[in-house]
Amino acid sequence: MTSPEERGSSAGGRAATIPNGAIVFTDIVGFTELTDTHGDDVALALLERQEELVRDALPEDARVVKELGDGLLLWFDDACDALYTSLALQRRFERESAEPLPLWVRIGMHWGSPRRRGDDIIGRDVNLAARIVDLAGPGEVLCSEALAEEVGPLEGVEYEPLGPVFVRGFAEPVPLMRAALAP
Amino acid sequence: MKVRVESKTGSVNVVAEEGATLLVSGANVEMKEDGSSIVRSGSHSIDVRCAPGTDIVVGTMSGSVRATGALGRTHVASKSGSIEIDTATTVDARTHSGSVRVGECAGDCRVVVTSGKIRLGRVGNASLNNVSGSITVDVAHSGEVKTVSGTVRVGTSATGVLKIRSISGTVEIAVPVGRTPAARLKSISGSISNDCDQGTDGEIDVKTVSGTIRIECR
Repeated sequence: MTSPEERGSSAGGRAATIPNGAIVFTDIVGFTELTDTHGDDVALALLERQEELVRDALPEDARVVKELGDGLLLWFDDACDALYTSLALQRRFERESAEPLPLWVRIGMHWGSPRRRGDDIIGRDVNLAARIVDLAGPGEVLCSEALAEEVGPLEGVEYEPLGPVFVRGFAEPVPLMRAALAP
Repeated sequence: MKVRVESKTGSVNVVAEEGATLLVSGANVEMKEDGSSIVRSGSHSIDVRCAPGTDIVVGTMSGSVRATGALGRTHVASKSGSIEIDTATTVDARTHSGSVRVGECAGDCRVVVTSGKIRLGRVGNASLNNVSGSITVDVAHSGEVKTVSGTVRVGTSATGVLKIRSISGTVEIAVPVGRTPAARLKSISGSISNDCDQGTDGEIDVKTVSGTIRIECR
């Protein structure tokens, strides 16, 4: 499989359609409050720690699309890789949180076909993945039903349907699942 | 029985009562082959009456959700509406800016809120997350709480493991008189006080960065 930058063209301002993949958002919980109470240097260290752990965990078919204010946008060619990596990342965030501040990260993901614009990816599916992460708590991985269906049953992974969820900017509710490593 | 309710802006009122069969007002009902029901509305308020033990799944954008009576597994997600659940076997409640109140939940009670308040009565295992709103639990047998700056007040039965993580919020834990939990309390710059003797009646594990930690026997 190939990554977005190897597919199609990103000519000028025109966005090229790329094949389906997993769109994953990570987000540091309470980052604004942490910056306010502990200062920019401490907050920056958290961001760098998050990115270091993410880059270390990414398989070959995945990449960091871009850094956001307090999170990352990731792309995976393979849905199983995306889910396994996200769940493993949550374990690492929990285990390797550096003092004094914990690294609480929430993850939201969706399976879809965004448009490519330069190195970036845009479109409805990207927007939806961004909304999904808003509903996750620290340490959680939430995914769309579309991603769960693409993954199918996966050894060691449990899904809990959360039902239809309305998210900002989408007229219809989105069926969401909570994914977790089996105890 | 399983009932799924979708309402964009209208409020949702669910009542579980003895002898009730599914009765819905304010929305259309679609019966599925697996025996479950789907109730949909846009801006109208929805009233649902169902039998005790019914599993419910509710999604709203801004409508508030109120559930009374004894429900089964209960999932509620709202962008900004408040959520009130009297009694359920398990709960998963999520709202960005609304508040969440759960009266009684014998099993897992998971609540994810960004800025609203969380108020629980008696729960089995609590999993509570928020950024800035307060968290109050009358009694939890076990659980894990994470908050950035919200005040946490939890009563524990001191029978299970209670783990609380806070950045700057104050953490107050009430332990029943006569119980002596194993307490591991750590705050980098906040003060710590513990009225209880160290023992083996459950575990209390609290870490804060700057928040005060108080354990009281009462």
